[in-house]
Amino acid sequence: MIETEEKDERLRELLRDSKDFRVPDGFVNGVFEKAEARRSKSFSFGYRFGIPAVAAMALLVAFLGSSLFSGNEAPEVADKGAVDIPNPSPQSNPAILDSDTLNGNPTLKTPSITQGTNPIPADEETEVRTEAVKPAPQVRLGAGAKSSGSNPSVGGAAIKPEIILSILGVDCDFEDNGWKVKSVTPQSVASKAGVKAGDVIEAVNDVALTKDGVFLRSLSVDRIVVRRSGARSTLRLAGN
Amino acid sequence: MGESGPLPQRMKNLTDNELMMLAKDGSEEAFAIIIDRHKSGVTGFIFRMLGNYEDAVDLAQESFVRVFLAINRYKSSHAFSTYLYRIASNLAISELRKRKRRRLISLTWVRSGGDSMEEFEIPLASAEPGPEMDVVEEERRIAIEKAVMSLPEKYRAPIILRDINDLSYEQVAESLGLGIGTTKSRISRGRAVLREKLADYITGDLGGRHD
Repeated sequence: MIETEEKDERLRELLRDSKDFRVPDGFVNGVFEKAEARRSKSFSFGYRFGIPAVAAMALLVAFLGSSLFSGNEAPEVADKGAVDIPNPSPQSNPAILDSDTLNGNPTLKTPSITQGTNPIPADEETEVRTEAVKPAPQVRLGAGAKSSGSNPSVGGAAIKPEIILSILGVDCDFEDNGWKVKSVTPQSVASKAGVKAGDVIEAVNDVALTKDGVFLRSLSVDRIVVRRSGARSTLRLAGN
Repeated sequence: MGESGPLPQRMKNLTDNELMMLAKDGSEEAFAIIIDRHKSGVTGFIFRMLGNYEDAVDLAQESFVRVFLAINRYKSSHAFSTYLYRIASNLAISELRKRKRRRLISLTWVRSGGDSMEEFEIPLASAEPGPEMDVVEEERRIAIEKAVMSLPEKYRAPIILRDINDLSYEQVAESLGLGIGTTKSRISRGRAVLREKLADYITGDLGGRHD
């Protein structure tokens, strides 16, 4: 009977015998080629100055872009109940300001949309929910995107309308002071929220979605305002 | 440094750390010797971890690429092999986790007794086996490879590094980010499993297989 130590020694011999392992020809050159490819690929701004520096600069550029876009006047969002759409022209879009137009459909609860700081009291709020609201669904614009706080002059970002509409899954033209939906992608966020062709998307997170885009305090979208047959509705997004 | 002309023979006698210093000074020849010296061990280690030859070669090359691209940060206070195998084991373990997530790992033949070779192929020891290749030896080698690859991952890595790649316990522990006690314990348990699986080869009953 062989003792354990002896067996171990024999085992180690066996294992050591299998040490040599075949590698393909050109292995060494392959390493240098890969290294060279990697080096030339990353010999850019990032490689020379460091990824963190580039990331910081990218954030700075994004922030400056946001500030320029918003003209340093991020729209205020009313605390409760009201949807605040910046710079709507009463002449060009009377429907937005005329809350009487919202009373056309008594079976639907519709939100009141006001201009400036004129929140509608909570008990007067009416809101359409075309789909059962799931708890805290949100569509994030970019992985890990976060709002930096409640001060709109500090946090938030200017988002192009094409990006938002693409995330929602709608094909739109800008007309009649909103984004008129030409088609809705099946199973998209917009589709699940109940958006239909012919609807006009007016606001995102209670902020007007203009032709130039929207300045969002939070980089997540959880509701949109659409106009359908003259009535305005807030649709909650259920995410993908 | 930038030596030109044929590779000085004496360079091959330098230690890993000495070669790394030369490589740091710009000598690709020195780094080529480093690669040549460790390519088989690193590729074999990763192969035995993953069970896939192409992935093993790819990740072994990636290990050297990472060393090469970060050569200016290399410090010779530790053994080079520890540094290299740490990178290699991180890549291998990361790949295993990716596979688990994708549920693509399939080592069922190992768990079910290991008779089937359908799931992966163990490469031949020699690039050109030739007619004189010792079939019995090849069979034994394959049996050893299969036995090693059948070990649970936590025993497999330290066993390969210690008993096949011949690293010291300390180097194994450092390469895998384990304590020395844990490392020794895992190696001991791994060996116990292998002693059973390779009993016939250990006792010498299998010079060749009994039919």
